[in-house]
Parts: sequence; C-alpha cells; structure tokens
Amino acid sequence: MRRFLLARGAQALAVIALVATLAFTLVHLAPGDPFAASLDDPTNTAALHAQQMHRWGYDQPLPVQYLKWLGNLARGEFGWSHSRNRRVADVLLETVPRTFLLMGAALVAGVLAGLALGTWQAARRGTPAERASGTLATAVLSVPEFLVALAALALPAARWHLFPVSGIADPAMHDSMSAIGRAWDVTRHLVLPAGTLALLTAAGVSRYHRSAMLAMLPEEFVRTARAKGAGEYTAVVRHALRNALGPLITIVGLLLPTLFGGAVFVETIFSWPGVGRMMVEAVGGNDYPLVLAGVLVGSVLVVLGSALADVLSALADPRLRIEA
Amino acid sequence: MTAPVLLDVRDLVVTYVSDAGAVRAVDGVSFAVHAGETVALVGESGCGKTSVAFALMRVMAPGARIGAGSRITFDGADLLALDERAMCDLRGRKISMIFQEPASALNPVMKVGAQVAEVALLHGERSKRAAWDRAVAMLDRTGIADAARRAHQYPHELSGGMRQRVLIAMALMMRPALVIADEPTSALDVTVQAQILDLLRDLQRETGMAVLFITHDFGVVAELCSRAMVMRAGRIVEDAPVDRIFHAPADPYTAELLRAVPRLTADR
Amino acid sequence: MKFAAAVLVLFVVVAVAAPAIAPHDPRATPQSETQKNLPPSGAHPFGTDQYSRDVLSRVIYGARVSLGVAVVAVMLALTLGAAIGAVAGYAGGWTDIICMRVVDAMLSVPRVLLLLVLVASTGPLTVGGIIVLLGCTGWPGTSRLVRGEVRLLKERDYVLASRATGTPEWRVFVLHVLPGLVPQLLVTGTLALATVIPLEAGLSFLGLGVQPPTASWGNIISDAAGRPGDTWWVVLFPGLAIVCTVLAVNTIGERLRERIDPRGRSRT
Repeated sequence: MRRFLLARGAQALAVIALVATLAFTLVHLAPGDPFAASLDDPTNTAALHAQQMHRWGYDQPLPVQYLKWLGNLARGEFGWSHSRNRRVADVLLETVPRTFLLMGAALVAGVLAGLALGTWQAARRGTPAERASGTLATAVLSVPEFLVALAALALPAARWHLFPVSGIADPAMHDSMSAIGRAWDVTRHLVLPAGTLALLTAAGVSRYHRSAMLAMLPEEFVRTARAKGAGEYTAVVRHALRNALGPLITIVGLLLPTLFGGAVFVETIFSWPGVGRMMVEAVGGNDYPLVLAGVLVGSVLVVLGSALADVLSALADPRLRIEA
Repeated sequence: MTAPVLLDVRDLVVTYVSDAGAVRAVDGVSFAVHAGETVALVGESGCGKTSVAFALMRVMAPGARIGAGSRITFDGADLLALDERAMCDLRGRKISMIFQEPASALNPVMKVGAQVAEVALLHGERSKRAAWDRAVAMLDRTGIADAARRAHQYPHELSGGMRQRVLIAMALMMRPALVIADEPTSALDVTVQAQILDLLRDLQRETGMAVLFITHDFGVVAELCSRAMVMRAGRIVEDAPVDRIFHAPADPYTAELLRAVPRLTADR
Repeated sequence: MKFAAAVLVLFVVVAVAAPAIAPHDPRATPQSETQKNLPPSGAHPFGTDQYSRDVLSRVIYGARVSLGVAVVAVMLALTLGAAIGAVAGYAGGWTDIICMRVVDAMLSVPRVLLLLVLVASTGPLTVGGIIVLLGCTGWPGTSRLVRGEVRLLKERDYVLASRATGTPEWRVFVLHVLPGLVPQLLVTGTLALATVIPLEAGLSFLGLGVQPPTASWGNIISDAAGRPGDTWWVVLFPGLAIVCTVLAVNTIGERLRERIDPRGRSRT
C-alpha cells in the first residue's frame, strides 16, 4: 500500500511540475506584457513603463524569470497581482476556499443524487419512468453549464426571489450577523451556484452509475443472493451497489476537471468570488501572475483529487488491498 | 419409496426468448423427489439440467419463460402460483441451492461470514450478533478450520474448496427440506471433490434433507445418489434407481453415456 | 437516431444558407431607439437585442460560426491527436514516455483553464484563432486512444508482413493501421463535437471567444446576461439552438458507439 501511495504521489508531483512549466511558457510567450494596457494612460511614459518592467523582473531573460518564479513558489511566494494591487498569495487565500466550498457542496450533493438516481434506474430498469428519467438526464447534460446557470438566475431567483443570486454574502448585513447568522447567509448564497453544478454532476454520475449497476446485475453473486431469499431491493442495493461503488469513485475523480470548468462559468454568472471568477478577470486584465496561479491551483486540485480517488478506490476494493 | 413426495414436477417447459428466436431448453420434464431422497439429474452440458434447477427456484435469467402447462408442487403448495414475496420466503429456507462456480457465486466485496449470516437475517433472525455466531458455527460444520477467523475474510482469500464449503454453509443454514446442488464439485480439484462429496453425504445423513444433484459426472452419481434421472436435449429419457441404471440401462443414450466414462480396468 | 440526424442536417443547412434565409443583416444596428430589446413579434420572430439587432438573423449566422468552428476544431484535434498518438505508439521509448506525460499534464488541467491561459497569452482572437485554440487543446484524448491502438496493432501479422516487404513505416500506418482506427475516431469526433460546441459558446459568452459584432450563439447570449429574466428571448433562442445541436450530436455519437463497439472490441 505504501509503495502504491508513494508512486501515485510522485506521479502527481511530476504532472504538476509539467503543468507549471507549460503554463509559464505559454503565458510568457504572449505578445505584450502586463503593463501594455496602461500604455494608453497619457501619464505613463516609456521610462515609467521600463521602470515597472524592471521592478517586477519582466525584463529578465525567460529562463531566469522561470527559475526565480520556481524559487518563489517553493517559498510560497506567488508574486504580485497588478490588477488587484495585492500579493497573489493573499488573493488565493481568499478565493481558493470559496471555490472549494462551492465544488465540495456541489460534489457531495451531485454524487449522492446521481448515486440514488442511478441505483433507482437500475432497480426499475425497463419501466417507462426509468426511461423517461434517463432521457431527462441526457437532456440536462446537453445544456452547457452557463445556460443552466442563467436559467437558475432567471427563474427561481429573479422571478420568485427565493435565493440570492450574487455574491457570497449579503454586502450590507453580513458583518453584523452572529456566527450562525453568517454561516446561514453564506449557505443561502451557496444554494443556487452549487445547485446548478450539482444538477449537472448528478446527471453525469447517474448515467455512469446506472451502467455500472446494470453491469453488476447479471453477475452470479446477485443470483446467489436471490437464491438465499433476498428480494429485489436487497439484491440490488446490498449486493450490486457495493460492487459498483469502486468504479463510482474513479468516475468522480474523472469528473473533477469538468466540474472545475463548470465552476468557472457558475462563479462568473453568480458573482461567486472564487478562483474561477478570479481567472476570468485576470485574463481580462492581463494579470500574468494571477493567471498562472489560477492554472496551478486548478490543476493541483484536479491532480490531487484524482490521486485521492485512486487511493479511495483501492481502499474500497478488498481485492486490491491485499496486493498493494 | 415410503417417504412422502416433497417435490412434484409435471410437464415443465422452459423457453429462452432472444433476438435470434425462441429455444426450448426444457421440453416437458416430469419427475418427483421424495423427502430425504438423493436424486441425480444427469446429462451432458447443454441438456437443460441447470435450466430445470433455476426454474425450480424461479431465479431464471431475464429472457427465460416457464411454459403455461408446467406444474411444480413443493410440500403441497403450487410453486408457480406463489407471488414473489412468498417465493423469497421459501428460497434459502425451505429450498436452497449450491452453485457451481464458488468464485463468482460469492460477492467479492463482502466478508464470507456476512454472506452466510445474511441467510439467517433474511429469514427471521433479528440479531446481527446471533446471525454471525450461527454462520460461524455453520462454517465450522462444513469443515472450515478456524472458522471464527475465516469468517472475517473475503472470498478471494479462500481456496476453491473452502469457497465451496462457504456456499454449502449458506445453503444449509436454515435446514432446508430440499437442496439443489448444481455441479458442486465440477470446479474443484479431484482430491477436494472427494472431500466435498463426503461432506455432503454426512450432512445429508445428519439433516435428512432431500438433495437434487445436478451433474454430468457418473462418479458422483454412484457415490451419493439412490436414484438417477438421465436428461437429453430437454427431456428425461430414463428415471431409475442407480443400481439399475449402472447395470441395466433401459435407454440407449444412457448406455452411451456410461460407456463414455473413462475406466481404469481394461475391459469393454 | 434518424430524428437526431435530421435535426443536425437542418442546422447545417441553415448555417450554409445563412445569407439566403436570414431576414436581416445580423450586424445591422438601426439607430432607432425604439428597436431595442423588442420581444418576439411578427417582424422579429426572435426579438431584438440591446443593439437593435434582429436576433433571428444573428442566430442563423451564429450557426455558421458556432458549428463551423466546432467542426474544424474537432477535425484539427483528431488529426493532431492521431499524428502524435501514432508517433508515440510507433516510436516507443523516450518519445512515447514524454508524449504521454505531456498528455497527462494537459488532461489534468481543466480545459477551460487551459483555454483561459492561452487567451491570456494571445489576447482577443479571430475566429481562425479560436479554431486553432480549441483544436490544440483537444488532441490529448485522441492521442491516447490512437497510441493504444497503434501499440496493439504494431505487432499484428499483417502489419509485420507489410513491413517485411520493405514498406516504409508511415505507409504501413496509413494503409493498414489507420483504416482500423476510423470507426473509433468517428465516434470520438462526434462526441467531441458535443463538448466543443458548448465550450466555444461558453468562451464567447465570457467575451473571450468570438468577438462581437460577429455572431456566435455564445456571444448573443452574453448580451442579455445581466438581466436574463427581462430579455429572455435573447437567451432562449440561441440557447435552444445549442441544446438541440448538442443533443442531436450526442445521440448520433452514442448510437455510432453502440454500433462499432460490440464489433470492434473482439480482440484477444
């Protein structure tokens, strides 16, 4: 087991290193520079521009910049965000937990819902209700995330004023609330964005899970269960489901990149101040350090997530536990 | 036979329906099993004997249909008329089955003790603790050494012979009146086969249950059974006490099957 | 399946025939204030947007852009992926290892992020630029597939025979290996379309894709993003167009996959 963990960990690190290098190269190959936008400003002379470039080290040769950047990363120093006038590390400290919260909530809700739906679909296979639900799931998956988000924005929120549609907290009241009040405030704001992501996750998970369950049902041990006197419910849920959970964990790991992509749109539309929205703004503002940091965060999230999924999957299957 | 009839099968027809058409795997089979009897259902692969077994338990594959004129009476009750709940009650308690492939018949992610205990829990046992203890006792009875420890293991940690003993334990937990054994030794080594057969013989003597042995192996028939039914292409061609079958088979097909059994002696 | 294909064909026809069927110039912005944000009516079946442009015409012309970009980008990705995968599969050794690590790295970054980084590098793009962007981020999946197939087929007899006659490697690939890959590539490509269409729409929606006034289904929607409830028609119709095409492409892709998989997977 330990060897497996080490190998997986090393692999994850290698991938992250590669991603970092690729991202750095891409960003710095760009024409122009972080201060190009401010050239329109009449008070910004060429000398001032050169001074700023020098101050932030953008006039150094690329490999030097790369090494300096790596060194800084190792010390936890992510650079300076020009568009926000703050340390990138501080921006990350603020935004990353929020995206975690969003994705976490969406993942939990979506996976549970998808699991329940997929299991129900397998148990009720062939019935009109099951077929209809399958078509519905496919239809939901065909709608791009930003459209679902817009729909969520338009309908329940604007028309019926059920949940807040933007931000993470009530701008006026939040600070004056008690701790519980604040938690509740954030939760209320979380519902729509997380709900949108959860809906899409559930649709995706249910499709995979249904197939996994259906693949389990003809298995002999399910027949054994029935021969023991187990009813349909017990045979399906107790026996088939347990075996389908392993693949499910792997599927969730594979869904992480897509989930993050969806988060980018959802955060933008609902003004949820997380990493996704930060990235979009950073791209608009030519803020290289921020963009790089965002990419790193995104891929670390995904790499760690799938490594975790691999490990959990190995733990879940007793057949793998002994060998590893 | 003075023992009462336990299982009475009349004109059983099993049809498999698929895209390629309908196939009659069982074509009008009739037989009876008396309480405490050990009967063999013999035949080559594909003759339909396993389909008979699955039909009796009503655990057939989705494409299978039992013909309308078929009658199965068990312990006085019309088996085919029972609803699913009543059937679930019977399965594992009054009629049980030992499967052929112990490796795939056991749930790979569940401890074997739990799988055996499940039988008790499905049939009235309320306490998980008590069910577990009964399961361990049963595993011990089927010859698994160190049963208490083994019960905590998973199927892949046990040898083929041990897995088969687990299946036997599951089948016998509730002391059923009828046990259907579907080629219980085919997947095992010869030495292990002998052990399992001995075990089955002992258990049968101890509990007085009726056993329907499904097999293609005449050696097993000779060892354990008092009566044999020979099946061919969905039909029973001969149904007689074992002695008679071996020495004076009435049907030419039976004679052929017997001739096909390899012998150590040089005659014939 | 037939229905899905018909829907797709309809969209393609609309896209191709855009200049002929669009009632208005999609970029025309009549100065009249009264034309802004009109709900659907006889004159403007899909309403107008905040720049007084006819939404129906924009959706029709948008079909050209959104579908065109997606199709060409997918073809680019397939070609790149097949080429790189083939090279990696054939060469083996370090080339293979490096290629696959790059593939792993690219697959670990959420594609949206990758696109954002690239857009950050290049600034606002032309339609051609977007196609290249999408194509260059979509090849890893295909390359893995192709590499796997190449490694399997590399040792097949007919390939070895071809090589033994002195045929250069690339010809062997094109004549013998590639034809076997085509069904799989077709399925991958179709399903990739279902991913790329929303991706382009999403990028354009964020203002980082197709730039106005050129219409793409994504950037039409972004006009109304502020108040989707008020000017719902600006969101609904392009949105419906996206959903319909994606659904149609998905259905076709799934059916294709069912058709080729059972046949194609019969390898030892």
